[in-house]
Amino acid sequence: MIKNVSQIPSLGPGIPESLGTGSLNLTSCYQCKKCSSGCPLTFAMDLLPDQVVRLALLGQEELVLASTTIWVCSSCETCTTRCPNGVDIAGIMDRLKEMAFRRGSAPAQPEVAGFHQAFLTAIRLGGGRLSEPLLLGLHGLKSGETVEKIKSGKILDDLRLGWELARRGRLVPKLPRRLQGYKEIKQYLSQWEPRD
Amino acid sequence: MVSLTIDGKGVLAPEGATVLEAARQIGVHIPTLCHFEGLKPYGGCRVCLVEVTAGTRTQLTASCTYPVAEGLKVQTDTDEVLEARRFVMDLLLSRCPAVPALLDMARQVGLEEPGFSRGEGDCILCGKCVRMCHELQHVGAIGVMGRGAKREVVTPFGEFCEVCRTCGACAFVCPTGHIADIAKISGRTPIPKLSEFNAGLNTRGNIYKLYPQAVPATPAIDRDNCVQLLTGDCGLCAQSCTAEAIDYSQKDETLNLDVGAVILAPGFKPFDPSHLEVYGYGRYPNVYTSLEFERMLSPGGPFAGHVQRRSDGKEPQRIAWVHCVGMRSEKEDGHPYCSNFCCMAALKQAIIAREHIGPELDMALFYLDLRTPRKDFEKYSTRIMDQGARLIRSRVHSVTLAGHDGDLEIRYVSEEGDIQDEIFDLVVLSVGGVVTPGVITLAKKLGVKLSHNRFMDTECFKPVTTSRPGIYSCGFFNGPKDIPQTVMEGSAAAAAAAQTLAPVRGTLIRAKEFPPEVDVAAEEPRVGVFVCHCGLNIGGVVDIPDIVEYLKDIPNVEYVQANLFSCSQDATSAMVEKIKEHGLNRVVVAACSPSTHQPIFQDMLRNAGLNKYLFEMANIRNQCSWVHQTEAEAATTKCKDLVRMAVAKARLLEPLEYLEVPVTKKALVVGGGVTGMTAALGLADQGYLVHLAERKARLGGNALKVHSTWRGGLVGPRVDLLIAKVMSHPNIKVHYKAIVEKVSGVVGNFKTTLSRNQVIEHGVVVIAIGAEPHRPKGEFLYGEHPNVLLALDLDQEIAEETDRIKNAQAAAFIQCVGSRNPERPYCSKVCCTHAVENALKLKELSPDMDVYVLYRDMRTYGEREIFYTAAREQGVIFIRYHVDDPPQVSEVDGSLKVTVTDHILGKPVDLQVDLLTLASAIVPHQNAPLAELYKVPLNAEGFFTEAHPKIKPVDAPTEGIYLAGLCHYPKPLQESVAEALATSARAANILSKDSLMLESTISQPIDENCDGCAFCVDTCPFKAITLIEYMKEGGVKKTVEVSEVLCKGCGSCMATCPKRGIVVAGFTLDQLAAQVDAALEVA
Repeated sequence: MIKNVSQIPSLGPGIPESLGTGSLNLTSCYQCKKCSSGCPLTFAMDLLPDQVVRLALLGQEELVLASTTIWVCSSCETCTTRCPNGVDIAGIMDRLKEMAFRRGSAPAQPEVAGFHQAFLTAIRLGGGRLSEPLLLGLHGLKSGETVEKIKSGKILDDLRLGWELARRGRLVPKLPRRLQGYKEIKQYLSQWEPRD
Repeated sequence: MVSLTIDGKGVLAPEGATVLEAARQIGVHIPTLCHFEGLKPYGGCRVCLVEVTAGTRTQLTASCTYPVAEGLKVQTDTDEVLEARRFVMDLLLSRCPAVPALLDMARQVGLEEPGFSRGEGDCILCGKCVRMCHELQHVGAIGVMGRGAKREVVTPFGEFCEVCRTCGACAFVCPTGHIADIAKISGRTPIPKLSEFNAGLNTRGNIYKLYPQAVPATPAIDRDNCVQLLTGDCGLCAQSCTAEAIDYSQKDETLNLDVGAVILAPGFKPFDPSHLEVYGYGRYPNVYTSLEFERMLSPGGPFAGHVQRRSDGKEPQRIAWVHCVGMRSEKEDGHPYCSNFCCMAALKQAIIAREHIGPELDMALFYLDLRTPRKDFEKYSTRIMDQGARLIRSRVHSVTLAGHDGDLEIRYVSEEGDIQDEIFDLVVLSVGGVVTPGVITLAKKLGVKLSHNRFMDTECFKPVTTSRPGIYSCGFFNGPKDIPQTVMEGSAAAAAAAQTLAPVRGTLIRAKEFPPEVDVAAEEPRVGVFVCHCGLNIGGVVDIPDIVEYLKDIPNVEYVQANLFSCSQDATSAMVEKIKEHGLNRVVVAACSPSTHQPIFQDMLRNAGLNKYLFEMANIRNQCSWVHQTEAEAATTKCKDLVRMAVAKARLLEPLEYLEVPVTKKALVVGGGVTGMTAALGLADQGYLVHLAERKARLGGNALKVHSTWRGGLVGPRVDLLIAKVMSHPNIKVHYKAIVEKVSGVVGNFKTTLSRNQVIEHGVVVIAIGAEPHRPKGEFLYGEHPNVLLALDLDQEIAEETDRIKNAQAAAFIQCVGSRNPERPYCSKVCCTHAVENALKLKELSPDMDVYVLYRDMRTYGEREIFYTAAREQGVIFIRYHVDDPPQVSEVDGSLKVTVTDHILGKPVDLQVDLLTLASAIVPHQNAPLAELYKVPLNAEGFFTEAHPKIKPVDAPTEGIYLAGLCHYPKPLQESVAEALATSARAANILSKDSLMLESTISQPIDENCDGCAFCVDTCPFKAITLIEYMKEGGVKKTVEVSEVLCKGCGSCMATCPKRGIVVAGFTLDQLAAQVDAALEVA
């Protein structure tokens, strides 16, 4: 049973098309709840994975996109692996995150959402590859953490640690080589760019 | 032959035999330790000491090595002998004081404690193991080494022996348990053979019966492990088998059979969950498959029905059942279909486990959809829920170990949407069924077409016919099903084959022929008694020569003979000769149970020209030797009593007339729907005249309204074809607008009056009068809003592609309307599949239509599951509702609004639909009048009741009456057709006979004693007795009359009658009294 909602709005013409068809197999679900039984992160979720799937199936975008679950999901894919109907639950969570960005809806877990966005930006700037220093920097700036640390002076500790890591070759402070298929990736990423 | 005396009794023994063998021949007990039949005499232990007098010389000697000789006098129980044996036992016991077998033997010779200093070993150096290994196995893996006190059984050089085959023969013969661990000899641990029948829960020997009720009930040798078959050594079993039944030279044979039809019934194998790591089967000891658990629950299983855990033998208090293991999903080598039987099997196991463990047992069943659509299954599931079983709708993700004591943890989502962790003592994986690769190879070899799921590809109208003419199939191979349905389908396949083979029926049958019977009624009784050894079953316990001698003195006993196995063919032929030779006119066989063997001996009497009722049996095996194995003497006395009683009765036996009734070789089928027509055709094709009575003016019944079957085949054209076949069949006469008005007669000879006074004489009846849809007036706006339809109405609209179907934007189905509620506690079985089928058709007509199915449990059992999956893939939305919170339907601006609480969200959702279809219950017609006429009981819901749900699924409790189709219980067309075929096979069993043979041991009224008090009329459980009146000496005389056909000879009437006015032939009061008198006589 889902909390905080008393009545589901009247069912519209159905499932968001991007979820209903294709490899995600959303409609194949027969509500056995195996995904939720096996999920290691349910303790931090407001909706169980099966409830997210159910809401998505019934076309309740507003409710799904406002939930913390889509942000708490760590894509460990335990659910996808075991789903008897081949529903790609982790894929659905991912798709929902992107939809949340596209709609510009306020994420229920801004930190996770921020990281998610920083991650994608880093990929774009990194020419299709992930540069960890870039991700760190972007995430710090985006979340306001860097500003905080400058204010408190803790930034010096970070820099020292960064230097030590770089000295040992654990952190490479330069942009990686651009991927050959970067154009495709860029095109794909731009599809999911936030509208705001 | 050599004659000698043992304890004063004369014995004839073959030359070269030992004194021990001669003594055992006459039942004199001599204890032994080192002796073993099949091994050479050894004389090592000396406990078999006896006193032998040869000529003038008397000595104490070991009987196991002393050869018999003419005139030898042997004493086995003199004080000297007993004293000597006690001394030998004392020495052995002192050497090995802790061996229970020795303690037992010592106690038998009056010794409680060893008299010498106590040793520590457990080997008495009897040498059985060494001799077994050398003499029979020809191996020599062990030998005896050292002298005197240092003598011991060892392997060569005390090292692990390479030549040892770990056959275990040494351990088998060891009397003290000294050789228990063969790994100490070979260095290799023997792998126990697990019992296949008990799902590997216990072990079995290398010579074994698969299970106690196996047919034939003969043991088999596991040739993959038999030393004799593999190496030519051993041969111990052949040496010990008194019947000399063991033949090592038998080889596999290829038989070529010329047949006109083939029926495939290859069955299935349970799904093997070992590779599903998440369920822990094979890793955690307390995870069981349902088959293993089934064997554990069985009183004949490995633990005699006691439920215990593999890890610690503890009785579990919390058991979880995990449904649908390996089924309803193609992931992880699973199967996309539903196995149909497992939901009910899990429920049954829960009920039985609770009976065995106690009402405090916590039963949790993790299910997906509870599929109990068969007759009375719904009530069964309600019962187990009332007993506290928790049905949790959550597929189990994984089973994990909780702690170290074998407990198991299951994490699931409750109905309220909360994550729960629960600990269980034992987890049962309710596995489905799988067609084995071997069966698929067989099907390919035969060239028959298989379905997508590798089941037999059959049509709904031809449910047991394969793609190749002449080959039929039945059972699980035709699609997953449970026991009642497989039994029914077996009969259906037999019927289909019989239809093909009708022209050659009976051509290969040889009728038994008996010589003419001699009239012995006037002769003085000359009783012959045959006493059976039954191998060692009887002869090993009681003293048969003594009994034979005793019987010779009983009056009227002319001849007595003992047989080793009286039931063997050569023995019965020999008995026939003896009967003729000695002019015997009454025969008693003292052997086993008459319920199994009486017919064999009665045939033997008929072969000897005697009436078969001149026979009496004394059960000296089951009632004597088996139950008194330890009291040979008393058992022998009891045998004498039993046989004396039998002889006393036999003296008074009289020949009885064989009763036969002719059979009217015609059938009546009531009901002209698809079921009735199929049954009629089934019988007509087999060559019998069939009257088909249809209530309406047209054949076809409910099927006229059904658009297509679940497999998608159109119904209409097939029904038309069926009607055409029926109408044109020369053996079928159709009676329209005909209902049954009057019935008389019994099996073989019914007389039924139809409307317009048509009287029909027939031998059997098939009742197939169908059922009708429940019309839920007022429920869900049915009858109030034009767009609320019943399922069959929607069929018609789809067939016609009406505008309202084409224009509909959204459609909903509500399932279980009027079914599975207190008023009708049964599932109508067809509606889930029907709704799924129609939902798919709507999606096909307009893919953008929103289609909702509001259900309680999706019961798309068997291969129907595929369509449920397809419907979801097509975007049909399934919403589960609870029986206590049914959907609400209201009208909003002309269209329909359905509000239903979604089971996952726990919140109401609103659906705006243009079309609402109700899956209303299937309800019986007014069956009571017909049921009353044919005396067939109805169940609480008004459906006809079968004789036995599993073993007689289409027979009515009254003989000669058969049931098929919806009037028995709601079911899909395919199953109705199969049932119709099954009834035609069952009915043909009667019709193929010219006459029915009846037992003559039935009640006979004695008119002069009967005063018509009618006590017996009320007592008779078979309603076989009627009161009649006739004119006698100017007055009315009342008396009773017994129907030979109905009477079963139970004797209730005889026991009730105060005037000796009615007796059971063959069990008259005089005969019984003679038996009682004989019992009370002092032997």
